[in-house]
This record gives sequence, C-alpha cells and structure tokens, in this order.
Amino acid sequence: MLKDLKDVSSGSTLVYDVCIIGTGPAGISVAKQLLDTGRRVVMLESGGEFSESKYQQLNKGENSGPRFLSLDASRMRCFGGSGKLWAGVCSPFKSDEFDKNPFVPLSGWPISLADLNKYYKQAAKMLGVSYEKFYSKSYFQDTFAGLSFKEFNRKNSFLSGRVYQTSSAKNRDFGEKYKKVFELSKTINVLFHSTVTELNLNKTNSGIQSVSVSDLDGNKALIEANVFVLACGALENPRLLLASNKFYKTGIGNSSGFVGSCFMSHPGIANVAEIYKTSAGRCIESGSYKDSYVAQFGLDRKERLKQKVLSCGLSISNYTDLSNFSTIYSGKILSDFSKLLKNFSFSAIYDKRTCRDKGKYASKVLDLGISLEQPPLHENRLSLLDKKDPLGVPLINMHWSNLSKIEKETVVKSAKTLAKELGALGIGRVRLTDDLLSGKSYEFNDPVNHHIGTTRMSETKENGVVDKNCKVFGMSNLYISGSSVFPTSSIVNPTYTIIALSLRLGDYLKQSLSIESNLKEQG
Amino acid sequence: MRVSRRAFIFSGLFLASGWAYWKVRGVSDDSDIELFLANYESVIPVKDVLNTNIQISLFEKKILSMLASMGVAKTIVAVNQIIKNEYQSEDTRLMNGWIVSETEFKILILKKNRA
Repeated sequence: MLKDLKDVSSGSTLVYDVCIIGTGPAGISVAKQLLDTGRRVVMLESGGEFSESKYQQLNKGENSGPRFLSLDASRMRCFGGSGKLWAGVCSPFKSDEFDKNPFVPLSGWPISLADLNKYYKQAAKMLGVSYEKFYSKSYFQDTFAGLSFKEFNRKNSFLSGRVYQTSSAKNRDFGEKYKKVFELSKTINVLFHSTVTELNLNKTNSGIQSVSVSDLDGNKALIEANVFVLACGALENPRLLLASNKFYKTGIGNSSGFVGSCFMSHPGIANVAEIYKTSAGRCIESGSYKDSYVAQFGLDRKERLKQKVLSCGLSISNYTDLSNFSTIYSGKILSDFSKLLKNFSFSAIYDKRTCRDKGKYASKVLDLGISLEQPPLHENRLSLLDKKDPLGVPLINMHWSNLSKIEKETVVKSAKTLAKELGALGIGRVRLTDDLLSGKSYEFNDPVNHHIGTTRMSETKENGVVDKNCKVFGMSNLYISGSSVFPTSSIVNPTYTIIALSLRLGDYLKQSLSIESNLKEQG
Repeated sequence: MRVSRRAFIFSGLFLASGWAYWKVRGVSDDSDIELFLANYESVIPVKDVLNTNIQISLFEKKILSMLASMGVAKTIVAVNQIIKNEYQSEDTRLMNGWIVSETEFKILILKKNRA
C-alpha cells in the first residue's frame, strides 16, 4: 500500500513489525524478502513518488576537506532512491576482496564471498543480468576473442580481469520495477514524505522504540516497530545515528567512534600515462560492448600483495580517436557525443567493430586512467554541523582528504605494472605523464559518486558499527543496510553488492522474526 | 668421394683464414651495428634518452657478437625476446617517464650515442 504522511493524522503513532528507513535499492531489497511473511512492514521515504526539489534540498551539507564531494547531486529522495541515478553497472566483489589485507589497517570483512553468493545470484536475477557470466572463463575468453584482453589473461600475467554487466533501465530502477508489488501488498506500506528526524531509544537505551517523521508541511508522526532498518545511504545513515544524541552524546552505535568515519569512494585519476602501441592493429582499449558488458583489468592479487597496493581498474582510452567515432557511426548526435566525451576524462566507448577496425582508425597513442579502491581511513569522515535543515536535522560536514600515500603508490605501481605486461607481450610501451610525475594528476574533483563505509561492519564493536548480520553493536533491534556497512570498497560499483547484502539482511530478519514468533507461541 | 691434394690444402687454408679473420675481428663490424640500430624499431624517441654515464661497451660487444653469428634480422628477433623476458622478470627502469627494459635502455643509449 502506498500512502502519504499528510494522509495520516498529524501527531499519531503508527505501529509495525519492521520499519525500513529508505526506499532505495537497499530498502526495497530488504522489504522484498519480507513480502510473504505476513509481517507488517513500513518503508519510510523522505520524498514522494517522484523527485521534488524542496525535498532534494534536505541533502545539502558542507565540505571542509581539501577534496570536494557533491553532497546533494548524487542522491535522490523519492521512491527508488539513488537507484534512479545509477548507471546499472554490476560486478561482484572478488573473494580476496573480503580478506584482511596485511598492509591496509582495518581491512577485512567478517563475512566471505561464500556468505553472499546466494544473494548475488538473487540480485542478478532482480537486475536482469547473468550471475554465471561474471565467473565464466570461457565467456570471458570468447567475449574478447581477438582482442589483447585475451592475452592479458595469460598464465604469467601481472593483471587479472573482471566482467561488468549493465542492468537495463527498466530492471535497475527498483522504484519503478517494484512499485506495483508494494502497492498491492497488504502487509507492506510505503509512507511518502516521511523524513526521519530522530531515532528514539527505548526505556533501557538498548534499542530503538520509535522514529520521528516529518514532512515539509509540518505533518509529523511517530513510527514504532520491533525492528528498524536504516537504509538511506552512506551519508544519511551516519547522519541519523549522530543526530540522535539525546542519551548517547556521540550518537547511537558510536561507542567506537566509527560512525561517519572511514568514508570511501572510487577516485578516478585521469592522464596517468601515455600508452604507445607497438602494433597498430591491436585493440587494448577498455570498452563497453553491444550486449552491455565490459572487461576491466587491474593488478592480479599476487601482484597487489607483492607490491603492497590497493585494487584498481585500468582504463585505456583513445581520446585522439574520438573524432573517428562519428566517422564510423555517422550522424550529428554521435559526433556531438564524441565531442562531449573528448571534453571529459571518461573512457571512450567502443564496440567490437571499432576494435576490429583499429588498423584503419586507431591512434597509436592511448591514455591510461586509473580508478582506485580507497583504504578505510579515520581522517575521511562525516560529522555534523551546528546548522540544521528545515526539519531541524543537523547538516553534514564532509572532510575528505587528499589521496593517501598508498593510493598514490597504487597509481604509479599499477601504471608500471601495465608497462611490464605490455612489454612482456611486446604490444606497447608506457610513459608516465609529467602530470603524474609532478603530482598534478592527483588534484581532481572526483566525478564518481560512490559513498561507502561510514557505518562499517566488523568482527568486534571496537572496530566498527555493525556486526556481520548488519546489526548495530549495542542495539537490540537496529540494523543497517547499504554501502555504509562495507569495511572496504573494492573498485566495483557498489549497488550490486548493496542489493546482495540487503537481500541477505532481509533473509536474516525473516528467519529471526520467525524464530521470535515461534518462541512467543511456545512461551 | 676423392678430394685432390691441392683442393684439400686450399679448402683448409680457406677455412683457417676465415676462422682467423673471425677470431681477430671477434665480432661483426660497425656497419652491422648501424644496420641493426636502423632496423630496430622503437616507439620510444631517442630525444627522451637522458644523458648517462652508464658503460655500454660490454653490451655493444654482445650485440656485435650476436650480429656476427645471427645476422641483423635474427638478432632483432632475439633482442626483442630478451626485452620481453626482461619485462616479464621486471628488469626495468624509469627513464624520463618511460618504463623501459634494461636491454631496451642500452639500445636507446647506443642509438643516441650514434645519432
């Protein structure tokens, strides 16, 4: 059932079994698991069914760090949340990316890939992509047959690849895809224009009793539930925990000081190196292909451990070729598109045909850009300002530092490693750019709006905010879902993993609620 | 097959003089190395080679020796394989932004010295 706060008597208290705060990919995935349980579930959406600028204003905040993060540009307060902005690019974490990395403090997940595989499969189905194709070696080889990507997959390669698949617009917008399901559901309610302004503790301060919700027209309500799930993104989740500080002065779940801390994204460093092909006919450019998958290479795990670097993705682009894009595919739109691409530091888009035509069209000089995993660092953190939004919730202050030593080392060492790979194959040489050598390449505004790691998952309460089941340490009934619980970030787009983790949390809640009711019946 | 005494002596002398010539010269001559450098393709421009005091006389002798025994074309193939192996075994260095293998680096110096 879809409702609006204005349709509820102002000041009333609504009671449910489960309250999910947020209706993005995370919130919807948790709710979907609870669909047939008979449990009364409410999903609280800050905005309406569609985006409204006055609710978008609630995302505003400030930056105090040397690097700027656009706090209001990348988030949507409407049904479906930031899933409406997502490009749909999916790839799972690799198994070793859950492991503790000896040279990255605070790395390591308390769960493994095996704990998520079942949910990655479910998430792939929801997104209309193939789970099997992420892992099919023959698929990888066949897909890139004739390209040098195939050669990068050789036995002694310094690199290893990933397959990315793109979920179509109709599959990736969960707001659109599942609206009807929730509309028809008798047990799941979606309440629009219900911005949570505070989490209210129970009498023993050991769990959440209720949440206060408001709209911008002054309507208010109290939502009580047995279980609460925060699923409103890696900026809003910590904001609400920090803002709910009536009893715990540093905020709920923050005894370790990790709420808001260890923010991560995927910085993209452009103009790292020039690649000179020794053989003009070979295609080594990164690219997306007609049936919506992309191969991206990074350093092999063995190399990463040996060189003590983070994960990265190597993007080999052909800027100088972009004028040829419109030559190959005539038409003004594509011509304009190629001009547009030329003005930005994005990878050029090629299809197989372009690659086959390399001899005719390709430039011998390519550009290397690198997207980076960030380490979890305390200094990259979100805190609250004294200033408040129109609903009285303190604004976010983001402090995002310049790239750390290990990130810079990852960029340089990865470029050198690519040079070794191309040299060993005899297909190219690499020259690090003057901008990289002078450090200028690191001065950038990050265009990637991946928000990760501000309520991290950990084995113990000393090192994180939630346990392996996404339950907030010290709280009996408060859970968090979304990329804020990621202890480390890999380099893949986070939404696919957000959905898998949320499905897992939904499954866990389904089971634990069932056990609870069985115990009640027996008692 | 019978070989006449004269033919036997002449052929012996011919082989001995060839061996002596090779032994005295030791390796191929300077024009061979010029030919090798002219035919050795590199995407790395010689102008990017920094001035260095590195001694390459031993390397030069090695190339001359290869040229003497294999000729230019086969030497290029062999050198390219050495370079590939050096990239694989990470025997590389940074030169003015370029990541080059040790052998490649020495060839570039040779090119620069003879430019």
